[in-house]
Amino acid sequence: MTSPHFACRARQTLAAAGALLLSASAFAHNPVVECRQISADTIQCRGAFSDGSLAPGVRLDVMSYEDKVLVSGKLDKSSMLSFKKPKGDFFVLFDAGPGHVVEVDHAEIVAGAAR
Amino acid sequence: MTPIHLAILLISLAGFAALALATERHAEHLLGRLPAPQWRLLARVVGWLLLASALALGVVNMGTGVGITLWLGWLSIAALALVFAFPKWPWQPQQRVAPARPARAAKAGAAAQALPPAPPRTRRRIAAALLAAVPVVFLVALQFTPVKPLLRDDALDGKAGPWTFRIAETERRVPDLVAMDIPMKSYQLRFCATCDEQIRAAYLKVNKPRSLRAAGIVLNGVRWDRSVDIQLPANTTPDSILWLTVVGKDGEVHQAQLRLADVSPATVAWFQQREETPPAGRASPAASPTASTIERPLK
Repeated sequence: MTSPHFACRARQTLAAAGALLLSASAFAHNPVVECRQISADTIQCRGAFSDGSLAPGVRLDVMSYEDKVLVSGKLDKSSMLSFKKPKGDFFVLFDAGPGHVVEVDHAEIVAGAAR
Repeated sequence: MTPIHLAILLISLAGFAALALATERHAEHLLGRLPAPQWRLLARVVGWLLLASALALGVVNMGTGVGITLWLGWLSIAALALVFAFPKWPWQPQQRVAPARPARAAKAGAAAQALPPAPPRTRRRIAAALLAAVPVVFLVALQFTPVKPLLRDDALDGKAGPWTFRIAETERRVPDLVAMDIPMKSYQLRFCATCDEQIRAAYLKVNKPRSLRAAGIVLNGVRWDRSVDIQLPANTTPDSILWLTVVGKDGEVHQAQLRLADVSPATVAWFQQREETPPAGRASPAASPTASTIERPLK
């Protein structure tokens, strides 16, 4: 009986390890966003998920520091959204659902094309 | 689900009974006579097939992990039941129940010869070595098992309103770079046992949330260990603050702040290093006198 038992235990451990890996990859599915200033007055943001999948159609809001919505749009097919740079201080909210909102402050925005 | 459990137990019982019939000692004990070798071979095959089908039944109905575990459990119970049932078997041969004591003593030598031959010494040594290796392997595995993040020394205690909590980064290392090379960090958090019942949701982010909508990423789990992966801002500095926003079931909102440098020192060091040695081709911050700092009061 010894060897079948060991074989079963090994399979069980493998199954448990597989389940752990699966749950780890499922967990790593968080919204991420990056914004860049592509010209003097244009900001381009690209939203995605941490596993590399794109997020076309997901909402992206540009808000003022006074919590006013300056621009509200949805990401295009390539998961991007460009908008005119607001005059005052602003921040970008990538809204992938309740509890899955990522913020980018205007101070974080660097020059260059979005990746 | 109960019929599946019952079926696994009954099939295992039948399997072990068949395996018992395949051995000389138990076959004679159960049947009162020794069956022919081909019948015993058949019993052996049927026994193993029954045990395998019990396993298959468990795996198909309850998944691999749970199926195997339950099968092992029911196997143990079936085996134990047979161990206690065999001595009470009503049709066992009488002479084996009460053998004449003097006769047994007289035939001690003969009985010893009649015993099946012991397994070869090498085989026994291998079995003994394997048995001894079990605790050794277990101890080595235990040694390499990482301490749970919230039980480590670097876990920090805090309080958000009336609720106390303990927080730690999942991995004590630099952030992971995910899609678009965005640095992500994973955290684990646990509220006090009584706090858990009063909390609806908790959110984590770097820098002060501007509204409840932008409170950050919600922590996974409704009680005990909660976890979250958050994007770290490109301008993270040693002074960056980690904000925990906790919403109670009564709608009350409480916040707590922790210095990112205290919770994730390696991450802060990584950002500093990145700031000091920008890689070639990396875009420089937009031309703005306040580009490297966030213009907002941090209370």
